[in-house]
Amino acid sequence: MSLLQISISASVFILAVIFLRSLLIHKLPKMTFMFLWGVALIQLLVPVSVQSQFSIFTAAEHISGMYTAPKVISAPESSTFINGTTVIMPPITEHVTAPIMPLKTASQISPFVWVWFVGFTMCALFFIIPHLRYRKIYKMAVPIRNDFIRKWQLSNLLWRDVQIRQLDYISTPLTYGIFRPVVLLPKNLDYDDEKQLALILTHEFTHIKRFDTLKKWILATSVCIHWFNPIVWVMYILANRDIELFCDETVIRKFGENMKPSYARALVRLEEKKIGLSPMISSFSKNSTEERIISIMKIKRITITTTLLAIGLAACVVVIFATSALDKTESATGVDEPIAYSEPSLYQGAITTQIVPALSQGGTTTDLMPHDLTFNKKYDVPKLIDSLMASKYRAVYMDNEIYLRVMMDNTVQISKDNGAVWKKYDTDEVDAKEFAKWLLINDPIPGYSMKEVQTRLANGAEVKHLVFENVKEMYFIIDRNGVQIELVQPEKISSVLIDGQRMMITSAISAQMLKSFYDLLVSNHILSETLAEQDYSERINYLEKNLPNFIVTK
Amino acid sequence: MVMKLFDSELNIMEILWTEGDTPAKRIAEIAKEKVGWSKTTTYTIIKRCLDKGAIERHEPNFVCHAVVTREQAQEHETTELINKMYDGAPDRLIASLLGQKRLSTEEISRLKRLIDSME
Repeated sequence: MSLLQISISASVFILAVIFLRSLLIHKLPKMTFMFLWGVALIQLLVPVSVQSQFSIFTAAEHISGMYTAPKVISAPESSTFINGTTVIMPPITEHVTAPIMPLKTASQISPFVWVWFVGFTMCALFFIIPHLRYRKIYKMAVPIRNDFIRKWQLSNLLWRDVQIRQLDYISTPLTYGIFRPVVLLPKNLDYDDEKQLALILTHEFTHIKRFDTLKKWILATSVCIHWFNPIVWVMYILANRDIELFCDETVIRKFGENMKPSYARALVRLEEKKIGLSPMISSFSKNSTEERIISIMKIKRITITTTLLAIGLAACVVVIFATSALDKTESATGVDEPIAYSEPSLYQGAITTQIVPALSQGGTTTDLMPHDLTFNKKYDVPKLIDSLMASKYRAVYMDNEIYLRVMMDNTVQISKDNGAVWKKYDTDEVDAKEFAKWLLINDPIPGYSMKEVQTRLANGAEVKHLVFENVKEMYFIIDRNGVQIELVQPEKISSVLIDGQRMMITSAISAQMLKSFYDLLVSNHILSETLAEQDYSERINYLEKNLPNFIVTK
Repeated sequence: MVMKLFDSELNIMEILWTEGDTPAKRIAEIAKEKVGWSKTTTYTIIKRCLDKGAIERHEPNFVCHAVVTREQAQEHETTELINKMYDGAPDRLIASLLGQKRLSTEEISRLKRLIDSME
């Protein structure tokens, strides 16, 4: 799933929360919004690991891939003739192409990833540099000698060791540190006003108990990762405000509702202390302070009705927006998308065979299928596979352009001059899990046991990947049992291969090509000449008998 | 000569005024015990005092000597400090009771009226 898609689907949910918040911020318990922001953060952060972002966040490539990769082959309209009750199918030379969606590999880093990475780094520095600078200053705080604070702290012990210190650089009380939190009080605070001190300390200790600093770090992380999404920035601002509002609400509940005006006044008084003529007066903080004061004044006792309303609304928003967004995300993933697009192309194939019921009774449906022919390992080609496994090679492949062999150490060699010169080719590593998913959906080549391949992939098989100039691709599934080659051909071309699992012939093949393949096996000392002759004639016999259209004679 | 010093700097000066000339290492030990500062923090503050000219250093052992006397030292007034603090970007990774931007006086009286009207 690409980061862009995660961002977009989470935005749907965030917009819903913003809407709900604008209507009901002063009506619902603040816990409701904390919960909803939590769900949004999970959506934004959990579905991807850092690694998968890198591999899949090639948004544009990905999207363009989705639209162009599955080649829709026009249905051969003229190919079906109805002759009385019998349907005669002319031999098909154009084959239905399997829907293909190339799997992106880790090594392809697109410019989009770089742009994202630069944005991410700048954003992270935007948060971290000021924090580190201030942290140096926070460390210079001095102990407070105040009896009230000492007593208060003794009666409000937390399991984490909390320090309360004084700093002359700051103008408002603050808390920093996640695991060893420190509460810093400004020097110009009225240390004789014990009521105000108790309110401030309760506020700061509520932050500590709730790990609000950690929440702020997580929010900052999400905004760094999704820096390109303005909706996530809006969420960042609102969620930070809601952390404060929830904290205020808790303080008020602790002290009782009649403390509301005193608490609000204390905040304004502290705000007043910061005064000093500064041109940097932001209307945004003006609005947020006003919102905060109103929110404090409007705090009501939580009744069963409001609780139920809050739970109901939160559940509705999550169910409607978070899950639909998730579904959307699912279907929008690069892996799933091809289904939607490939269906038409498959259906076109199906349209040509609509009259098939009559036809299929004739037993020639195979002719309509893509001409992939697999000789099952167990029954058809055991000798051949055994000889392969006894040789220096793990797989041999041939088509009209290249010869390819996989060596014992799983390196790949390719020859473009019919086996005269072999050159080693570098492969990309592909994530086995991603590949398993991709395979399940695209199933590019029939003729192997999906179950077996999936088991091998789940059991830690390695997947290597090779792309040729003409978009032909090959995946090598490698484990202790040997190599299995999966071909992805945008256009079906004749090819033949044997690997540790089976012998496979893709598309119509000429007797000449099959012969060359056996010659290749002989020249690579996989088969002796006699065995090769024998095997070749067996193969030709089989094809002529069972699939007369398969061998194309020149 | 009057020199304005921060609380942290005054703490270091206090050590020098009572103990006389002291090596930086020893100052760090005393500060750790008295104020709970790490060695790095103490060295940072000593450096600030050196830059301001409040102390001098003598080799060997980085012995610190108070240039400013107790009478010449003065606490910074908070409003000045705050102006300094907000020159840079605010720290967004902490939980602070109030926003880091200031409100205008009109805005504050409006908020007071708002509380009165809602009470």
